[in-house]
Amino acid sequence: MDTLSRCILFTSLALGPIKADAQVSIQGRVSERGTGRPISGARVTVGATASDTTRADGRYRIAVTIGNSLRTLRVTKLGYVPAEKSVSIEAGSSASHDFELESRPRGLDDIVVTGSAGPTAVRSVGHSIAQIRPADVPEPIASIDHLLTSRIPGVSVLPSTGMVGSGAKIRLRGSASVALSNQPLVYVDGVRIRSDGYPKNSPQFGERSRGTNDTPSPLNDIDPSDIERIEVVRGPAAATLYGTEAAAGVIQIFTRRGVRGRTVWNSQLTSGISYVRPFGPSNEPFMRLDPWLRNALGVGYSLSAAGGGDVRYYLSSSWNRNEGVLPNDLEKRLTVRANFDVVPLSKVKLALSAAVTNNDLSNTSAGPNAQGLTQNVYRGVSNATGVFTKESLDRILAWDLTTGIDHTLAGVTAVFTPDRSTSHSFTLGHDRANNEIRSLRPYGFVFATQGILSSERWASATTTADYLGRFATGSGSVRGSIAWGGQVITTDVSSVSGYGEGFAGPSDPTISSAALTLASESRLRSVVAGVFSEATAGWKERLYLTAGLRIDGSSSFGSNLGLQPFPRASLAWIASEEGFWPQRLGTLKLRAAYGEAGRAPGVFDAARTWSAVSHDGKPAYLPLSVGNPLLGPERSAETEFGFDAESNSGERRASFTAYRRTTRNALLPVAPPPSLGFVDPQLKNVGTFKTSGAEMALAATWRFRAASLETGLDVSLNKSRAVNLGGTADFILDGVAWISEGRPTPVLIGPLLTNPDEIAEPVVEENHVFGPNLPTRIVGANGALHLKGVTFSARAEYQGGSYLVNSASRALYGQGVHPSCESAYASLKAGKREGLRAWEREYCVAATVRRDGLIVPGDFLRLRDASITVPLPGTLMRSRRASVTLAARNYLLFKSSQIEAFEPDMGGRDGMFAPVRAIEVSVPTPATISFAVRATYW
Amino acid sequence: MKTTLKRTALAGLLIATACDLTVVNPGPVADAALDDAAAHQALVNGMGRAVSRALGYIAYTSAVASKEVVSAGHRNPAQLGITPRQAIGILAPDLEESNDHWKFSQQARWVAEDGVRRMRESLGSEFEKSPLAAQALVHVGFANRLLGENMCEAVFDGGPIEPRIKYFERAEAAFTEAIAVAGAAANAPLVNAGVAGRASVRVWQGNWPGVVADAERVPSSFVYRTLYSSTESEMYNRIFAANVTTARAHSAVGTFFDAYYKATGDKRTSWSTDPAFPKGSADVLWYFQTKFTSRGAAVNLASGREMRLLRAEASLRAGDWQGALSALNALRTESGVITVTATGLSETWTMLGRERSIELWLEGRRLGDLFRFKRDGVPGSFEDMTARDTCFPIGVSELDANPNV
Repeated sequence: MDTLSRCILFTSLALGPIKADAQVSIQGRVSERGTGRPISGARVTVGATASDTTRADGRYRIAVTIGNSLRTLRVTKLGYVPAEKSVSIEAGSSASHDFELESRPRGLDDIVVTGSAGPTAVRSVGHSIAQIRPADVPEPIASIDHLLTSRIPGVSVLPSTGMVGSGAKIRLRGSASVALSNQPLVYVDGVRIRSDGYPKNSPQFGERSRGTNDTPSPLNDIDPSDIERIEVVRGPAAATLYGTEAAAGVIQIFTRRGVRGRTVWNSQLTSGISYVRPFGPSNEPFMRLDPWLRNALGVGYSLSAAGGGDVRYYLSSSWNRNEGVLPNDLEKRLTVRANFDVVPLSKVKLALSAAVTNNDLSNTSAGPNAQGLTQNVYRGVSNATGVFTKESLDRILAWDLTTGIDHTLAGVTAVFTPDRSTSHSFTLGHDRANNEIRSLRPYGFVFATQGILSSERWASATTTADYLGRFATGSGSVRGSIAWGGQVITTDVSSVSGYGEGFAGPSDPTISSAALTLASESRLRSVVAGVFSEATAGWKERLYLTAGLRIDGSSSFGSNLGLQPFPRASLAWIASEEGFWPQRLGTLKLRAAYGEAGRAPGVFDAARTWSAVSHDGKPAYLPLSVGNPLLGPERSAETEFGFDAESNSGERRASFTAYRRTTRNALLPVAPPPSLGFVDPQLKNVGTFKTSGAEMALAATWRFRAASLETGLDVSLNKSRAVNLGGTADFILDGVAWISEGRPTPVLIGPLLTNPDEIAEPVVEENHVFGPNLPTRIVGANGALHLKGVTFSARAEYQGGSYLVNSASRALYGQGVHPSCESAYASLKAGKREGLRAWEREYCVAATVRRDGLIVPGDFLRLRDASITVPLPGTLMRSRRASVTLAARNYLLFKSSQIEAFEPDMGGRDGMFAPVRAIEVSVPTPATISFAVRATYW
Repeated sequence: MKTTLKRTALAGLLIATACDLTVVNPGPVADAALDDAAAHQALVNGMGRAVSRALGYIAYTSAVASKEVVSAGHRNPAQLGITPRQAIGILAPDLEESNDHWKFSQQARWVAEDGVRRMRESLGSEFEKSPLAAQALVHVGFANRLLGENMCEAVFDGGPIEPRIKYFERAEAAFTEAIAVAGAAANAPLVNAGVAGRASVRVWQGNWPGVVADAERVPSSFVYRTLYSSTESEMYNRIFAANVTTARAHSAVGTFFDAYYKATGDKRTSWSTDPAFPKGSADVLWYFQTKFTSRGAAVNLASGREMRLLRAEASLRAGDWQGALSALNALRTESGVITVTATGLSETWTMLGRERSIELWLEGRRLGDLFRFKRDGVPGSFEDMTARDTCFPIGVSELDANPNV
């Protein structure tokens, strides 16, 4: 008996005893209008009794007893406009009825998970939550960073460099902390993964800047084609249930699952070319780097199979090989995923997920690094090899920088539903990354003739144990639910590294073959555990009140601190359900939420400790941390309110949220008096910061005779201020941006040249307060035109309101080798200073260039994506559905005219760990032209 | 509902038992562990390291401030560069200027003094004959001498500002005790280190009979050095590390040592050039020092040769300029360089000042000498320090964090 037959049989059984009445079969296929994609999981009903759910191929079949001759066949599916038609049920007929459903955004009855205690209908959620579905994205998705860029208001993705493997910083509603990581928590299928970057490739001994000066991101180990949807909650008002570490928000990724039915195969081939667009002045558009830049080829293949019966499965594999624009840059990434859903017992469901990624990265030495390619090339004749020729600088490319990443993620969720009102959900998960980080400057290397090799084995493991219980009660107009649970997150990070210097000859060495060898080890473990409870009361399915509390303990807290409570409350009112609401206006939900969340200090931050170091090869102790037994988490309290509105057709949508966040007990690095022996700052809970802002998302679909146009506009505003530093003095982060009372966090303060274009001596205003380092205005605009099956799409992002130090340009000015000064250098050499403009006198006289200057607006407008997707005839690929997409990514950039060279998203000092943004001597984000062929088979 | 409550309680119990938040991480060492006598050796090693690091910072920057070398253009102090203010002899308390110098030298003092306190409590009467205790006391002495010779003012343990002479008082007391303890432990090198150290601080206290008495006890060949690392950037010999081809931060060009080395070839002030890199990181001829030839090159803290210079200075202060000149020339002859001449007290002071700067080149001593000569109003012609600082200020981290300052 096949699955379909069983389904029919069970359906029939459910309908009651089999009668001898004659039956007819109604069957058909449900697909998405416009794309033709089959829709699985749609509910097809005939009248009130007969029904079926569509399989992966979109097909259904219903056995219907002949009765009334005319019946209503109705199809419903969340995210689509319901459709129905009248069908005639007559003896002997076996009609086929296909449906094309109109896609529409999930409305109030969509289910979300993140920020709530388990799956919850959107209508009852009082906080803001945003979702991205890759299936809705027309262009090929390069990475999770790319998927998150400029698609959700309040989410800013800040690239580090243009090197392969480079991970981006993700900020939700700006920075939540001054002293701790601002990367949001990331969950994949309910399992916490590492969200901070991997360590950069640099030696553990000697100068730490000798390497890539960039960091890969664990997020980018996830294959975008495996993702069903991503939910984002942007602040403590929504993230309270995640507790001590959630103040920076939460990103939850849900991977695709199998659906009952025949196997559906999806394949994708992507190929592209990346190259750097001009980023310098007209006389040196590539800042001398052009001989080393290349057109980088990238190719990717992915294949997935999904389907199943009692055991549903989703299996996938992808392979990517991406060259970088710098000569040694190459990424080779293999990802394999297996997701299974099983119902072993009638009341128990099991969901298993496992994924393995192997990523082999090779990089070029770059960033602020006297032995790096980019710094030396940009410096021209002032480079450290002494000669500015390609042959001389090519010697740097002998440096072999490799990072091997093995990332494994496995999780299982068991849901036990003893009755209709109660459920218990257990999740166990383990995320583990093992990296081999190797840096070889071989024998004969230009800057280390005897050779240097460093090798590090680094591992990060995060274990999640999670329990959630839910009980629903009530009837009639009043319904309620209570949820309770607990969570334990254990994080282990360890590293063993070796270092060797001085090899006997030019063979391929190991550390053991070095004349001098050194080793180091670190092991860090932290445990955070919490319990929570949340209660929701609903009235007439239009008014929902939720209150919750999480209580956390952490191994990072000071010994005298104890447990930390984080409360929350929210209210959702579906105003459009009220009688006074004109139905023609669609739906409107008003919401308000308050919540608190924290950010835990580091593993050793509370303890008074000494570091074990060496002196003359012997063990030695030095003061490390002065300690603070009262150290606790930062506490961020956030209030937000807003609305979600949608027209009846689903073609007009608007969402707005205003928020205000206050971070108390903010952890600040307070420097003790050096005369007391401990010189490193100690974290203390002394600061108060405020952040406020607004987010708006508008979307509309415009229909024409033969075409439709989807448009979207996202706007987010963010303003931060350091209210109180608890008596500590203003301090500088990373030597670039300040934390200063009464000012944005962080803020750029420095000299302002007030008369740059005058032919006069420079007039400099000292200690000018420029403004925040993070963008305060982000606007994303997108459009997709569907015309006769062909889709044209484009997406642009504007970031404004921020200021950056152009460290890269400043270094070249200080060396007297900046191309912008070419004519000024000639004038100065001829003794004609009097003809120079003020900025030339300020920056083109190398000896007097200031180390604290060149603060520039970080504003830019970038065309993030543009694409055209053309459906292919099924016969061409022998597939059920196929398309080809031609796409351009990061093709156009408009930046402030004050950034005369380099680009605003060129970081590359500490990659994702850099606490502030600055323009460094790295390589800019390249433009990519790619095409993708996608095909589906079943 | 009752069943639900039971299950909830069970789940809560399971979670509670799973929540062992006690984590013992290896690596950093708990403060209490240092009280154990087994930790004393590492504690003393740490004192040595702290003194080395502090001297590394001060020797480099004071070399620029006192014109032992000049800036060759590299200006990022985080990468061993010289700031524009340092380049013109301005020693400011700011973060990137002189704050590190203050905090590392204060840490060296505190670590040594706190370590001695722990050892005293732990060892009891054994302290008085422990070679480790003697070594710790020597570290206390040199850490205080480093502060006294280079810092404009004194601060101890979060207290108020005091005159810098207080450092020398602590140094002398520590050296005196070190001599006694090292003697009881029969450790001659540490006795010599203590004696030489005490002689050098008595100079600042004006105790010239004491200086001579101590200096005479130290063999001419005696050297007491502080050590550096070739693999740990924080512990590099900064003067060497700042002058490899990738940095080219400083140069001897235009200094007294430029012309002096050209004229005499005195190896104590040797420098060289590289045809591949004729200039520093800016438009300055790159004459790189070759006194230190590796990142791990040690630096003298005290020596018998310096003791001979102190005795010469004592003679000079007593008016015996011929005796002083003779002592200087004896040293020079041993160094293989031509002797110098003088016609009187003033010229001999000039020669003494030069000889000290030659003998102690790049060892972090010249700034203190220039301050001391000016303070004492001795005759002679010394380096022109007009509009230049002759001592380091209290660092901004102390000014910000210490309510008593």
